[in-house]
Amino acid sequence: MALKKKKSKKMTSTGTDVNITSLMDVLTVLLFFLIKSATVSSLELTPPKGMKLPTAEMKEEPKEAIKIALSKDMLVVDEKTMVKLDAGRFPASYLMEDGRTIKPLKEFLVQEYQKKKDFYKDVADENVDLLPPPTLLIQADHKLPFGTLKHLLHTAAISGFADYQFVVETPGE
Amino acid sequence: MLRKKKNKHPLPEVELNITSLMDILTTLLFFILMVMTFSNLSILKGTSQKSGTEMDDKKKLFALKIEIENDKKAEIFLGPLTELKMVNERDLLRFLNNQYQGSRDSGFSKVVYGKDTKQLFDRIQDAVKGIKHAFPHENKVVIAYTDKVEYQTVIYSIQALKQLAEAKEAMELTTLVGTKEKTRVLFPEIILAEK
Repeated sequence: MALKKKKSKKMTSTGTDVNITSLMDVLTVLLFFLIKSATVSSLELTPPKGMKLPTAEMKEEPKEAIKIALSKDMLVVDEKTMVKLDAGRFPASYLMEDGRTIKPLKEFLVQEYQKKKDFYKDVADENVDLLPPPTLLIQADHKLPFGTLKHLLHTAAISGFADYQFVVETPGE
Repeated sequence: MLRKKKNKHPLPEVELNITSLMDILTTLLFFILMVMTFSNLSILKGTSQKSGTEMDDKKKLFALKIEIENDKKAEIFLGPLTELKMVNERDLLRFLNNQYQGSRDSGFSKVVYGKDTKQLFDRIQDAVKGIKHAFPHENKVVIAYTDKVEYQTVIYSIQALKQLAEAKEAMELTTLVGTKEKTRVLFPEIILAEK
């Protein structure tokens, strides 16, 4: 008797089709959204706590510079508190005889300016008078009176930093 | 008996391999997520008055100064126009005689009021547009503030004098050489001073 071959019941696996249309959809939409809205910048600008920056509609890219934050409570330079203000005014002990120049800020900025000049002369071997004017990145509270801000601007100008970049918030698109 | 019609020419089955596309999309997505920053911070540039060499009295310079008293009042000063290069002097003098006080030799001035900051700077912009038409090559303006002016007002003033808002129509300027250009730029070099 011929052996009957056992026909094994093949377990026919049902093919599982994965529909990735929606995944592709989400990925491409997310990608285009990120490309449009993201900015790639190495400069980190985080305003100090409690400070509300002024708003402006113009957009310009910030350049790397010394960061100065001025609120009615304190003056912060490169994330270090330099002067504590008294009710929105600079204490007289921190001002020079002219009543306008902030002593510790001037010393710091003069040092930084000298460093830039020396670096420029060493690296570029150029006349230091051709050095492009260095700038400051200024973050200040939107309600700060100009009477307080002017001390900062004056001190920066006489220390060689006559150009300013005022950090502002731009309304969302 | 009805027979089902069989499709004699079925469409060939096509397989689309999207592995590489998925690969690129996910890589690009992660790369962008890693390097991007969500930031709505920007900057406005300004400069301060620099001391320089004494001016040669014979050389006449364009001098435009805006004094901001508070967020509702400002005063505009335009220096003497003698020996300055300008476009269409007649139109400029007509504009200045209508809106300002003063003369060609001594300069002009105008007080501007606004019920709020926005209206004040809109009026200042309208008042300086005529000057820009005559001096399209001039880019500097001095803005002086009193001590009580708020920093937000300082920023609004810089913005208002740098250029016209996107919502406003661009100006058509005629340059000194006669070419025409459409621009929103007013006086991009802002010099800050105190009153």
